[in-house]
Amino acid sequence: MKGKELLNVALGVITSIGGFLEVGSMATSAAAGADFGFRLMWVIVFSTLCLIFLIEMSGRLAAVSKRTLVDAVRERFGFVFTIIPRSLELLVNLLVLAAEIGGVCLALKIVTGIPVAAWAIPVGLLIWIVLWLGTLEWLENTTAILGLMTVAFVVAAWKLHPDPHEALRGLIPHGAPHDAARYWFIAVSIAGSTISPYMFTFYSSGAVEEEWTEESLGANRMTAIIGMGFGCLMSIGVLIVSAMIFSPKGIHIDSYEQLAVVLSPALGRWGFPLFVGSLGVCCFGAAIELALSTAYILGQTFGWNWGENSEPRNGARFAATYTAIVILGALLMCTGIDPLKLTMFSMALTAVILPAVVVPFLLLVNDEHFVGEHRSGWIGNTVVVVVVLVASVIAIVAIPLELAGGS
Amino acid sequence: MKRNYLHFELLIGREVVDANGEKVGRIEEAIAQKIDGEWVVTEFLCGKFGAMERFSIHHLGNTLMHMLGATGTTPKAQRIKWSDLDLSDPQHPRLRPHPPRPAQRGEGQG
Amino acid sequence: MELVRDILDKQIRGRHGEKLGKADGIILELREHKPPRVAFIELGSATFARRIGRRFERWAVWLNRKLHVRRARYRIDFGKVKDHELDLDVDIDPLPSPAWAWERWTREHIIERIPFAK
Repeated sequence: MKGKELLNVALGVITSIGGFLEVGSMATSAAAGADFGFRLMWVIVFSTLCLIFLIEMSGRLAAVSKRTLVDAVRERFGFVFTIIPRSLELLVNLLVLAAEIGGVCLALKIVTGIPVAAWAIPVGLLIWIVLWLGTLEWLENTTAILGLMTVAFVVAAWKLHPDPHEALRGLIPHGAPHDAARYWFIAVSIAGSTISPYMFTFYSSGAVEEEWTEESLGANRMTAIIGMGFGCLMSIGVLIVSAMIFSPKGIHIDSYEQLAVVLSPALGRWGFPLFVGSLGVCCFGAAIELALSTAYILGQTFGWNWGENSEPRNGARFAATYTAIVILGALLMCTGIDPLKLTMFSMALTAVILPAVVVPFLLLVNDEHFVGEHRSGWIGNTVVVVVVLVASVIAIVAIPLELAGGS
Repeated sequence: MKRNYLHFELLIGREVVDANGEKVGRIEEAIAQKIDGEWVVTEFLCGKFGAMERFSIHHLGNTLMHMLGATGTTPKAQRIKWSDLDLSDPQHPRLRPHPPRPAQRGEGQG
Repeated sequence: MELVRDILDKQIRGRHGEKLGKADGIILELREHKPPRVAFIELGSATFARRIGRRFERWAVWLNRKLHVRRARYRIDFGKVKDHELDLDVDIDPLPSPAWAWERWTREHIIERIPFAK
């Protein structure tokens, strides 16, 4: 691999690592660690494995067919079908975006004491300004590099010296040790926060905007494996830290404020600023991706001029869409809705809609007309189908049980 | 001169019946060729699934078989020549009846 | 050429590569004793709305009328399609075209009123 290609791969990997952790993965991993110790670690690993395949497929589809995922779904399956997955994605995107804005507001609240609802509009405005003035490359690289501070969770997890045998046992799938409804609800929330449809929409759109070709396939694969793999380590880091700090004391996480001190025992006085910084930066980056992903969905479904690299006036409807969704997300946070509850619920809902989004995607990356000889292998197909279907079925059962349980 | 236009995208999935009212299949596709400088439809493809063909029901089967290592093709859709399809009522496309074959000399004579 | 595979729902690009919209519909001209001619590609909110149902088509038409965006559907002569390999490249300048009515409306009424739109 040449020097420039290596640099692109490195940037792609850094982008993936820095962009992996966000409010959903933090909340779900922390809840998992607090309530069930290391026992839900296997869900993070399986979900990440599925995500690696999906991200790789998404990049491959874009590089070979020169079409984004949304474009290809409409072209292959028609307009009437495409409304189903896209509508579901739009709904979930709005909820998750609101949760991410909530995450940034929470970081600010933890530092300043000013309530979340008061920060919603200023944070929304800042997100919008960055989208309005920034380019795709600048956005990706800046938030991703800043997001590398989430490595603090991995460092903290290592410094807390978890029992390696207990930790490894967490990688083996098993049922709920207690409170089954809660166990499976958190499990599907982890799956939903990891396998987020907006990530593949964003990734394939970026690949087309950056004009990837078949020569990019190697870099695409490395980015998916290494980037998502390292990102998985971050989530596991959050889980381990939460398990070591909260689980022994029987502390159940029902607000983000409880997490503020989670890094302090391991990292001392750096723990608090690193946690607040991680939460703020990661949620900010995810909010930007979500706003763009929503604009990509509408722009590509209806064939508008789209692209973060072009000026707003050259993609008027595209710019208007991300503006509108940021406004809606900020307004939702102004209502005083609990960010943690919204996060957990929207992540579980993501798991429910996954089959509708992933199945047409899977058909495309196995369609010669779109990917030529670069069709998917049976391993990737099987992993994706199994994980997505199982997650969805469990989510459909677990969500009502969890809601009935009053969490 | 009033021209007779038809929305092809609304034709997809419509059930085609023959002259006896028997179901033939659903319109899945139209094949066009450039003849004398203009694109014209030469054939329609009718299959079991019609609009669902776009959702790849049989393609899904193809995909599953490919995943398991099988090769081969699935049954192809029926090809209907443009002149055989009566689209005067686009909601109810039907096959035109074939004119009876003229009797040959010597047939029917005792 | 297969109309569903190669034309319907494909991206339409203008003379200089601008995205005009998607091929929401295909209009065939039925002729006596001649094969149907592929006459137009149609795009617009009313066209794709009609594919869902008549009620949605009526809403789309109403919305366009309410916002004075001129036409809810627009036809491009199929003769203007220069290529259909990847996208549908048509020989049309989008700026004055009715196909870009909503893009122009959004630009003039919303985007250009915000600083740093260029």
